[in-house]
Amino acid sequence: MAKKMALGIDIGSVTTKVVFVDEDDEVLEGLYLRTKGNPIITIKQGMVEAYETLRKKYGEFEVIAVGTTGSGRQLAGVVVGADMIKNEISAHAYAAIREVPDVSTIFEIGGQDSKIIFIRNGAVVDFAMNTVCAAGTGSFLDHQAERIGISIEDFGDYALRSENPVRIAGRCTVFAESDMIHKQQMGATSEDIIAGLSESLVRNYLNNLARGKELLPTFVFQGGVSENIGIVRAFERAVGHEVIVPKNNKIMGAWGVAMLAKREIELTGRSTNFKGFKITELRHDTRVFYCDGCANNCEVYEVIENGETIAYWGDRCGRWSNRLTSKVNTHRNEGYSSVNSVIPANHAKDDAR
Amino acid sequence: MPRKVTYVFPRMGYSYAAFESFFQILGYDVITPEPSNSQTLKRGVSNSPEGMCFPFKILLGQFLKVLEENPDKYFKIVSLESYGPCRFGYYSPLYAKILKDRGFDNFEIVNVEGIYPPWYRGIPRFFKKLIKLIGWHTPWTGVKAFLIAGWKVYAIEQLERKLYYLIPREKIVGSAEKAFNRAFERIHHAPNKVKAIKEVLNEELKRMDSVKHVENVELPKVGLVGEAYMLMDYSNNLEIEKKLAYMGVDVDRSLWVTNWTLDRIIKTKEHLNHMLEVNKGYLDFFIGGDGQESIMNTILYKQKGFDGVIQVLPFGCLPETVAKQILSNVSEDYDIPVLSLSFDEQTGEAGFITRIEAFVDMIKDRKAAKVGKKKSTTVASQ
Repeated sequence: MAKKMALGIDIGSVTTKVVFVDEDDEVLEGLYLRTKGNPIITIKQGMVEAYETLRKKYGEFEVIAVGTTGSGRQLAGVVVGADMIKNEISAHAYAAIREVPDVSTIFEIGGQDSKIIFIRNGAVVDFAMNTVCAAGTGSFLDHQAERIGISIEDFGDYALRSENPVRIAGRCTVFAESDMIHKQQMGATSEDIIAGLSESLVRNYLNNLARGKELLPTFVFQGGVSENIGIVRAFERAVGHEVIVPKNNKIMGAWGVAMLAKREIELTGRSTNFKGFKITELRHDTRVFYCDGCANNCEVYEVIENGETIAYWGDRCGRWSNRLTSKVNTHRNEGYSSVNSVIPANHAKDDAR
Repeated sequence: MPRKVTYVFPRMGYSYAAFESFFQILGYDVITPEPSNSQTLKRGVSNSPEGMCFPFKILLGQFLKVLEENPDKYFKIVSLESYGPCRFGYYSPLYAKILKDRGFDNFEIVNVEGIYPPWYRGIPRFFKKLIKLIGWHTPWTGVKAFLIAGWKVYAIEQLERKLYYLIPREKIVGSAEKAFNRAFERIHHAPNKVKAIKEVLNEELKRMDSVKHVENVELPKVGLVGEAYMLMDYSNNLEIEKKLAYMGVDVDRSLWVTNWTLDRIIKTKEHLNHMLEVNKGYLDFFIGGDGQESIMNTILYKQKGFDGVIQVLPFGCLPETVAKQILSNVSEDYDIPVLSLSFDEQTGEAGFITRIEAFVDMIKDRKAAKVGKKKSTTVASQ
């Protein structure tokens, strides 16, 4: 019998994550790829790569559910045919609760955004996302590593080797950078600068997102930046408690949405919208145009598959988006049918007890 | 002979239809500005001081576009004036100055304001401004204009409420909106008679009711509080109400033109006393704008059994920023989730949708958890 799997895709600003999970929600294959400005090609690459590995490992397999998340979730959703298109906050929280059931605070730092999610009794009670400032996200670290001339993978080790971290102004990336250069010209070592940067990044993160909120253990730290051991240590010093980095730390969003999609399929009993691995061979184009229907001048996005338009979005009135009735539910929930919670099943049971 | 006057007024949500009728009854030409779009925003932002309130920039952009497109007309620009320690009070003189600096001289700015104490100065001032605003008319025409505009505002609000009730319940996605658009156009172009408006309203409400939908479902309820203009204008808050409704929540806005007028201009005293009572311990003085109202409405929403509150604030709005900090205390004390969304010309729609989606997920979660707990306690007691 063909093995049943669910696919989760997380299209972040910098990286794309493709995850296959089995029926027990265990990760069979998780890929972490750079988006490099073209999400569609990256998704296809990831799917081809994953398909080949899975084929070798398990032979025939069947995809029963597909979920997409991340900032490119809508686009990915229509291209692959998703059953669930979920925001990254819910997806991350779901995966973290699955991995660490008694989690209370989730730190998540990705390429372009950082979030903090507060969990009480297995349910999201509050969250915050960085708004106007990109200080302390993965891109910034990437950029600084490049400037200092070390690879981002070594960043954490450098920070750990430091004995006297220098103090870096962490309010704004631009000022942080000039401060770093200043310290460097004064004679500070790269190790001390990197350690100082890690600390200022954590300070800035907590100041921005966690202001006035109660930080309770258990702490979980995930997202691409959690690979960086220097930042993990800085977090631990800042909160004065151990911070858990889950084993799938980089692909939590994709994993979460794969599980959510699988659950959605199980709950509703529908069959998947997944278009199959054949989509990797199709040609996808996107087009943006300004609608001239009224004074709103909406920017309308069009997704074209092999010369045939498969989705429109961006219009306020529905002039374009209502033209096509795709099975993929990109932005409109069917209100009454979607009134269900995102609490993981085991927690729902806990509550009932 | 004075030149023929054309009126421009701040466009706010769907209420523009009523204001249009108001000036038409008085016999003036009227041009409704476009809803906020990239072009009006660009004009507004590049001509305003950087740290200025976002609504100021929006409206400046709308006025500029109208003035640019009609160089041969003479305009009266209607602006609202508020009283108190908020920059709203300086909007009109600042508009006049910026527009003059840009080389326009075919306009004057007229404004409306309430009657402020002391009454012996407030009342004459009010009438002076009113006459400047609408010109000399027979009292009957003036009364009629106010009456019809009032009725239209009321009718549109009834339709809007119906729309947000129907969207999460409709069976065919988009059918409620279609019915609403039709109904709105009918009210917009309804003859200027109270009876006719009433008839159209009843007819259209019935027609909207016949949209196939599910009754008797309990949906999570979200209340919207925040700065009046951002809250009431759909083109600037990225249609937050519609988006929430499509996500399957019952959405309620705390400020409408009708209750705003009632609270701020007609029944100010009752309103203030009520607010002081509700806000006790949080904020007991006026901080300008709608800051106090935001806090009051959040508490009232909690008391009415809402599951969450979203605060809509324009970036750089001082009263709302103050309220935001206090709201985090309110949120904790009253155990109601509050999401503050700040809007400016750079607000990306993607981040905005992510936040409200996650917020909706969260309140659905909380609601489910509460229901679960209730069930478990009943089981235990048995």
